[in-house]
Amino acid sequence: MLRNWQVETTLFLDRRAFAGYLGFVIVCALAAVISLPPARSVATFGRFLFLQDEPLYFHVFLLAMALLAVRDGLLGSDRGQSGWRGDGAQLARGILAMILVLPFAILQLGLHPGTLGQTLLYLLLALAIWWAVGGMARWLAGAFGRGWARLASYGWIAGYWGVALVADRKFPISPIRVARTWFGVAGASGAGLGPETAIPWSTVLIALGLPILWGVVILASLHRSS
Amino acid sequence: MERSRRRRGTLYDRGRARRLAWVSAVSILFLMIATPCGQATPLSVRVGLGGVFVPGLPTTLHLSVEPYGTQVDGALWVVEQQVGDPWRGEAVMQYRFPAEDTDLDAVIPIYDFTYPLTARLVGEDRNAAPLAEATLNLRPLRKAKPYSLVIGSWPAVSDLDSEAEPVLDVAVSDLSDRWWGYAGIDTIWMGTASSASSAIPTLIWEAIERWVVAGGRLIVATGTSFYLIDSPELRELLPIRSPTLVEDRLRGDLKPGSELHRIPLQEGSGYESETQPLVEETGASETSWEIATSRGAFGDAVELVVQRYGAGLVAVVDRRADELSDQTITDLQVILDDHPYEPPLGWLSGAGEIRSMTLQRPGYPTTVLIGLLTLGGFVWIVFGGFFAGTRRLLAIGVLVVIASVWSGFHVNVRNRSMSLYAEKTILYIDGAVGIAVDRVELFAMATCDGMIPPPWAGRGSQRRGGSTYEGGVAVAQLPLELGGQRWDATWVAEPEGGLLVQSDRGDRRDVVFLSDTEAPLQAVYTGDERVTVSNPGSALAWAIAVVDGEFYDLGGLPRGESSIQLEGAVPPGEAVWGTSFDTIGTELESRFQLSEGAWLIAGTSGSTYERWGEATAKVRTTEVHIVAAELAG
Repeated sequence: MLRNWQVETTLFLDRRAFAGYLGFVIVCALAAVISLPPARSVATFGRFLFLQDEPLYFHVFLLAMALLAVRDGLLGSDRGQSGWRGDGAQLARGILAMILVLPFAILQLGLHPGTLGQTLLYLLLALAIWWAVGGMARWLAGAFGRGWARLASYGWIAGYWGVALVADRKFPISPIRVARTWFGVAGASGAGLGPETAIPWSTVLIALGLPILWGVVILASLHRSS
Repeated sequence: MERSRRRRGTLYDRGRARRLAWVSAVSILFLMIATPCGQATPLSVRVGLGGVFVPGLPTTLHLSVEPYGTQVDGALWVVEQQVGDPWRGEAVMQYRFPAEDTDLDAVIPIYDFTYPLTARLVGEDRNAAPLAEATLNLRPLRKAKPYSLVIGSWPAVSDLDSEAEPVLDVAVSDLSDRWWGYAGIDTIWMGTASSASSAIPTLIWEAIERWVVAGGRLIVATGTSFYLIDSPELRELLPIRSPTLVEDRLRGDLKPGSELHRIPLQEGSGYESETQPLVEETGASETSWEIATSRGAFGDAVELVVQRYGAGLVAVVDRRADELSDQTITDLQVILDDHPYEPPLGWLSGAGEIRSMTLQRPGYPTTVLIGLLTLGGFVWIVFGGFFAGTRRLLAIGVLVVIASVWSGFHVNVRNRSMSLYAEKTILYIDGAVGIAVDRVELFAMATCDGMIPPPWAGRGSQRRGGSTYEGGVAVAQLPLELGGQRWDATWVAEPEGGLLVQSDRGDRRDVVFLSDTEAPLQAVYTGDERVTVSNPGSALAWAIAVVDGEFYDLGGLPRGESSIQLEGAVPPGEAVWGTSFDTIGTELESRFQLSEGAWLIAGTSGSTYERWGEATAKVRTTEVHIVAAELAG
């Protein structure tokens, strides 16, 4: 059992860290509500189809995890976390983030029944992205300063997610493609951002808009605190 | 010398040449044997009664291969047809029957005539080359609409054959023993039988009887050859009891509700008809045809008795078919025009009930509450100042467990999204024989392959023709315009099989199953405002008796025998159907002419969750039984 001081000094779960989690939980809660299809009967199925054709919750959750990981990495750097202890603490904080939104993930099982295995795999993917992005931000912040760390981390996220938007079908491991494939949503018809994509604009706006908006809030709060 | 010959090699050459000749001869022999084995065996394909079919309707199919040398153990008959084109949308319909013999008798729907029908006999190794293969050009076999069949000899009807009114003569041996095999036939003209070989087997009679129940029209004009085709099933069908020959004319006792028509042979004599009233009005159970005839003096006339039978019609003419003139046939057709044939696939067309079906998912209020609990609890635990360090983590853990358990309960089976939603409307037409028309409307909420189990699997599967597992036929209803989409389905005729329908999210699919039932509901109207019902199946939630167009609400119908007093008649025109049965009730009224005779209509409805192959389906079932009540004397 961890002692109180260990929670704050080893895991660095102080109020500042929890503030990031709060935003993350808000975003995921909103995504969980938005992901519910508004149509209540077969007759009204076509209504707000763009809200039904994508596993929105998973899109939002993964991007929010990545953005939270950048913040977490920068905070870790501020606190001088390094080595395997720093990595372990970072991983533990990532698991805590996922546990916090577990109720919403369970709700998604009701929307995508029979996808327990895929959900667990997706959580693993989220943890890997958390570890990669957070670790990168922490290391870059220590080596080159916070500015470069932010630029590189957000650039990496933009690149990874951006590739999905322009070459979704040619890049099957893109996060959006993975969610679409694993959670059994039909190939959506609609405008995309490139010739190789089939992702509708509405999905792009909602899936990226919510976490990006929240990312801006995080950045602003970091600026104030530093 | 020997040495010199050896040196020249002639000794070796002669032996080599001899061996070469032997080897060549044996090789050619093997090649001659092997060549036919390497080729696929010829496969014979025959479709349709009379060799024609009506697109979209079930039709008979006969496949056969050379019985000698063909190994059918573990083999599979595969029949495939392509429908549509890339512009209006495409569909591939496939039918798989386990091969238990070197021939197959089945009934399948044929949808289109543009592409040929392909048939294969595939061995145990499904990926290997087929054991036998054939294609059939469907274009010359197509008939635009249901056609007439002539059994026996009826020259005046056979001569009517034209593009607009197709008529085909068919031998008794070619008739189908499944009623759905006659779906493309609108009238069967049973003419003069020529010999004892004209006798129709019981299974075929039962199939014809069921087809009449489903809306078919049977005209019998055997005259003096009646006894050549006489059978208990025919007697059940005929509108007369105790048929006998009187002066070469068929006579008998008129069944209640039958109509007697006289078609004068002399021009200008006028057409006459009278209807036998229901039993309670006359007080007698039947009237002799001879007595009825003697009431009027019409001179020389062809007489016929007509009666509704289920949704169909049976007419018996008193003379031999070959004695009837073209004018008489024209007059007969006037009578038939009052009862047009409609294939049972088209029934329940107005259903569309699936539109009102609720799509399951977790509800907004509970989801919002779970979100608020998680958020509020988190804020209280982290920023409320009540917990710190380890306790804070523990408190968060407890909060997450509570919210997760709530989520878990919330996404129970009633709130869980389903891959498929299905509205099943099952119409049982019962009586001496029973048939079932099951319409399944499907809506796909996810891209999936749904294996719709055949409805007769639940009613007890059966084997027909001694070989093929087949209790009925599944017909995918393909719209003319497929909207540029694919509409693929595979019929797997095996015990665990069904109709495998591939669908994408948002797709609507309609399927109709035609089958027969073994334990039908039966009713007897005793004429004293009382109806006796035998219900061998499960209890039915509601029941209505209809006598001469007056509706009586009977409440429910228990399992077994029950005798119910008819009280509180609802006059015609007033609403008697519940909201959920409104559409089907209106269809029944028009199909069965409920204003005449005594009927019992009963049904029930319910919802279940079923596993259809890899898909989960919510199935809402509406079950309706309709039975023409027997009129007791």
